Amino acid sequence: MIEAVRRVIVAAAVSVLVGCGGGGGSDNNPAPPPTTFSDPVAYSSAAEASLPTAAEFAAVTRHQLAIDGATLPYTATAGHLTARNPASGAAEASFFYVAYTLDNAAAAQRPVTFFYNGGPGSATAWLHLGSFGPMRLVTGDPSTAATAFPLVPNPHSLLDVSDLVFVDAVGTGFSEAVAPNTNSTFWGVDADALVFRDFVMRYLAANNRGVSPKFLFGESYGTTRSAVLANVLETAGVDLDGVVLQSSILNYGSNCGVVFNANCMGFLPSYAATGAWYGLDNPNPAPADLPQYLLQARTLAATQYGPAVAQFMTTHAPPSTALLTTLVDTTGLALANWQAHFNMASQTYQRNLIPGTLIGLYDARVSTPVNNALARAGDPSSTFFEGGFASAVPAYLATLNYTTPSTYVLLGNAIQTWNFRHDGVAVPDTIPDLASAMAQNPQLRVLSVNGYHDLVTPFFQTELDLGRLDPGSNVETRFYVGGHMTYLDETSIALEKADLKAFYAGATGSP
Amino acid sequence: MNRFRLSRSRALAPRRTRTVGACIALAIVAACPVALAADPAPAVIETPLRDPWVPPQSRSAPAASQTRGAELRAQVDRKLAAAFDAADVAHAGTLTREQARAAGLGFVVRHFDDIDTQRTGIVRFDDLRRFLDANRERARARKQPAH
Repeated sequence: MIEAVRRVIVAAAVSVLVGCGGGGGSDNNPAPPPTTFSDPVAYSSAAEASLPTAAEFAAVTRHQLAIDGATLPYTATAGHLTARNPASGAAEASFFYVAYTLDNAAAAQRPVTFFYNGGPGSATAWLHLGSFGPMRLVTGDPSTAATAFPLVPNPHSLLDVSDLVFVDAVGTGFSEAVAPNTNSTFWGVDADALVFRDFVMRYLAANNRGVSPKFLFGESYGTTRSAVLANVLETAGVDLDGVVLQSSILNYGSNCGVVFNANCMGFLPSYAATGAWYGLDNPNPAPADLPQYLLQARTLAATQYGPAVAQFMTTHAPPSTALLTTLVDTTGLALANWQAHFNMASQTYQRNLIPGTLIGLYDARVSTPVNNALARAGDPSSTFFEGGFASAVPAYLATLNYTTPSTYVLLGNAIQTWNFRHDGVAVPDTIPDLASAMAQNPQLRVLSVNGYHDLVTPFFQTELDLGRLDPGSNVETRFYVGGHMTYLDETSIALEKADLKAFYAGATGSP
Repeated sequence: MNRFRLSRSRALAPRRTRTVGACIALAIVAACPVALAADPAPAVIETPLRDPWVPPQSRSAPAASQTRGAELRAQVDRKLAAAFDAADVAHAGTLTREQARAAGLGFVVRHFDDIDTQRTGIVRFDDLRRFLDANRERARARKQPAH
């Protein structure tokens, strides 16, 4: 209670001292004057936490970025906007966001893209500082040699194509619920999507961007969120132009790394890619032949392995020796493992592919000896990336003139109590939400981007899930060498950027 | 020959993961002593960062629905009808423009005149569905190359 009172007093005092942010402006995005903001509020990611009241402040800074030989002047806006219930107008949550807007662009032609990571319970630091923002952490992925990740101007930034808004979910980063809600009010599939809807609508209104082409860019659980969010935004009258799905989990019930009853057939081509990376497949494809090789692996999964697993799960009928031999040759995993774990989950594959070595789940190209510190949390790839990202955020935000005594929460504990229930089912299937968004907006385009070496959201399962949509739906799919966060790879990020640029051009009808 | 070993591994899998899940709740980062009797792999815990992840009790969810075609379209209809019905606070089966606006049904507000083809000032869900169907057909026609 005392804390709550303190927050109100300090927030009121600060409101006199700093200019009100919110970024943007009128038709032509004129560059606003720079401001600094020392945010005095102590944000909490605890389930029962809430702010007594919310205020909209932001720090504004001016920058330049070189992309393809052109120098782009842009404005960074870091601060909070309040999501409100559209019917009652009551404050729901204070969202922390960082927006990058090209100076002097025409709002009607200039796209705006909302980025968020997943978890649920993950802040958006991964996409913000690892992918297509103007500054990027260079990890050296898949090598784990780097002891620190340098933060450098990003020639692969999407800023030449779209304004970029990186927003943290409630209970992550510096985003927090407003009383009488608590953070946990928004820790569920539906409540989360609705409060994100209200943030998106607030951002568009506060910055006069209702006329701009609009895109969503979610990763992992963020793709689950995107499907539900796209539907509720369309219903609310916000027409989207495109949705980018980065490493999807659109149907939790079809991913055998999440749910026991799921058939692991969607993982098989990812195992084939991983075995090939380590030179263990027989015959082992040359890197240039990988796409063709994985077409064969998809066929094997769909026509032989998947049906055999389905039969095994119902009747326990053992697979044929011929199929087991083919699986060994295709994935590099020894026969005994296939005999012991025929419906092969990625956690079994990663531990047994190379004895004494643990393979990464987020990026299967990352590996470590089992007794190495990187192996301790079960996934050397995420352990390697996490430290460098967590430490980079506060220092970077200070360069945007936003400072706070609060700790930036990279991963909150929302996932422990998240309400995964959706449409009356225990875990969400969001293909109907995506279909509903497309029914309301037949012009909506979807780009699915995937890493061959992602062992948490396997690309073939995503193809199967998206394949449920009506034939002729506006869905494109791209694949890259790399893991869940394909953009961490220096080669793949350039390819992904080119594909994004083409996708945006098609979705906005610009050349 | 494989029958026993295969079925045994399926039976053990849920129990193992439940143990792991409990460990996460107790200790986020620290290594957790997990008995993996059936598995020769080292005792590791799932990193809580791992996304996707659901709590152990949700892991035995029923087999995934894989609706497509008419079944998927029926699900979409139910979603749209639920939003419509929620806005229809009078349970009249109809919405005026103002009722749609008050409920945040911006889509219906924006397209009201095109949905209300008879200009009656009210729309029914069937009117909305007809509008969506026509919209889809128009989009499909636009996609066909012109000759």
